[in-house]
Amino acid sequence: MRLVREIAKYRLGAVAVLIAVTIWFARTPHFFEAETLFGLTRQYAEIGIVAVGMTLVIATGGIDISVGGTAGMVSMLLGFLAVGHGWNIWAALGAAMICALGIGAVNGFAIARLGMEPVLVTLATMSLTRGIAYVLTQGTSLSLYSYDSFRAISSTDVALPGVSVPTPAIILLVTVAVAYVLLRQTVFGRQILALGQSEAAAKLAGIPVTRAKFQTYLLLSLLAGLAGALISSRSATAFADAGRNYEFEAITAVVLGGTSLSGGEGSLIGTLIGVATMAALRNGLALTGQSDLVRTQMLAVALIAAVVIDNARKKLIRGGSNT
Amino acid sequence: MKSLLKVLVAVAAGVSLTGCAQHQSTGPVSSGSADAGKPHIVFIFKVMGISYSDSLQQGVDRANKELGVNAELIGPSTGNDIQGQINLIEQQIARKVDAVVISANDADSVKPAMDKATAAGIKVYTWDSDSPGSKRLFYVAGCDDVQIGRDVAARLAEDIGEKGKVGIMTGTLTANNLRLHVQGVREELKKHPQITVVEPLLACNDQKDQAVNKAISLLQAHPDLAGMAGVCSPAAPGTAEALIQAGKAGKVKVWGISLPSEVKPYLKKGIVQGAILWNPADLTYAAAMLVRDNLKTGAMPKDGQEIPGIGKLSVKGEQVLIPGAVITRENVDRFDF
Repeated sequence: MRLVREIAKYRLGAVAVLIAVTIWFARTPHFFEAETLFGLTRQYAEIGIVAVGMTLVIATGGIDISVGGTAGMVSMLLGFLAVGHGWNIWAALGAAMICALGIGAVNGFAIARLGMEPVLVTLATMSLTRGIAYVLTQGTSLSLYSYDSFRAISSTDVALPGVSVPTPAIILLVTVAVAYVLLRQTVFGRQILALGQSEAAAKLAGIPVTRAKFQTYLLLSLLAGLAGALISSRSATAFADAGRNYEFEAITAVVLGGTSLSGGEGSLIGTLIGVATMAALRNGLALTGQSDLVRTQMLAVALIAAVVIDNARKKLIRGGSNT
Repeated sequence: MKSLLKVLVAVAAGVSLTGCAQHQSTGPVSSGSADAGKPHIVFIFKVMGISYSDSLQQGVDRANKELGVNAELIGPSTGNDIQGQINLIEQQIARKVDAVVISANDADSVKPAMDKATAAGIKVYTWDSDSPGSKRLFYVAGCDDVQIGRDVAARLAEDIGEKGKVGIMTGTLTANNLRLHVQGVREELKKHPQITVVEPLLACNDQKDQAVNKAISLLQAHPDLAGMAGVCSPAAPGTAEALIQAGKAGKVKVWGISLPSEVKPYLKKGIVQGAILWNPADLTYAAAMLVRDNLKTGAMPKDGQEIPGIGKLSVKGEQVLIPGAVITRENVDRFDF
């Protein structure tokens, strides 16, 4: 019931858009085939995982545009250590993920502790991470084609009763579930929402605002790193440009999902619907042979529309009653 | 308002990344009744919206008119989008097309997607930029990738009087064809003891505006630059534009691998000395014909095979070459691509 109420309360917009997109493309050949839909989850799990972490950061009233750079840095670092220096691929992945955490720590420290603007801080770390990725090999990509076990992460399916689901989709669903519990069932989650509502009030209430904020940025960078690893696995290549545009894609998914950019609320189910909407849009446009540019433009329009609706809803709530 | 601002920043970031490309695929959009039974061939290029891709599109259009195929050209909207290209290949599996022909941004990263396509019964080929060691059946090239680099460098060396500093500009560091072009340029320049190559190798992401910026920086670092060898199509015209801005037009010699239409004004003014290129439209048309024949009968391209209006192919193993051309001030008006 709670789920239904949630959808009814905030996410009608995203659901409506998803339904509209689905109907629009319903007559396109192959649109509803399992192979098509599962193929998409491999691509969209990467963005979805980042969007989950982004939901939490946005719930605190913050934003992080360094996620794509972090993904690229992890991709390049793990290739650099494994291919360039002969490390075991998993050890290389571990080291790269630790570096991703380092970026999260820098973001978190500057934003939570020093009180700097999230957009500016993460703009800087966006350039920093891409810069690191490019400097490692001067932009040359490294092939991971021979690392079969690493490639298996993205290419295998997990056999569930009756259906086999791509492993990246499982990783996404587990991420959503964990984040959902974190946000809805734990003190940490309530702290995030409270400080997103009003940081001053949260401080007065004795909530460890700095720590809670710091942790959300840490978590998002870790998830961005994970996305970078999945991209490398799927393309069997370490490349500096991995995760290009992911800040845009992830923020769009979150906003389409009905989470307000002004903080204080966050719907992971909404974000999942947002990701599904974007996947359906890309799928439909690709099946009809449209260029990727059309999709990006449509997403930009959808994003602005979502924000306009969000602002209108806020005014309605404030002006109407005190609920 | 604050949230609106945040979104605008994000949108601006997104749009600025896609802003350079203005064109899109004009190929047939759906498999309507008229296309029933025709082999569906999808060409996936490195980036759309540049002169070179426009020229490729002409080849696709001609193939659709003359070859009884349903061909289309697609590609990422921004340069060097490795991931975008992989996504496009994977999407063709869902569309159940008959053949995918790829010009790889990154030779290795497209392999898993090509493996998947092959496993799904789609025939894969490469054209323009190869993916060696992949499951592609053959590679249709406009030139021998190393030799064209040597040819460009040899002519540039002659124009600068066999001495001085030379810069090299490529599109991306990862594209296989461009890497081999650069290798050819370096090999040839080594034969001239009084020529030094200026590092680093410049990469313009296959975009002219970036080529201009990179060339300007190089000119500032090396005011005594004697020549520039460009191996991607925007490199030579971009360098020419930079030379005009720096007031060095004609003083630095430029040779490149560019479209005649792109370099024509600069050739006429003597800012670019020459270009070597195949016709991208012919390249694509020839590829479409060879892929069609391979789909229908399993026939592989044959050495000496005649392509109408284009000339004789030379085939070495899995590599198919179409005849190319040297373009200079004197003959540029004869080319219409």
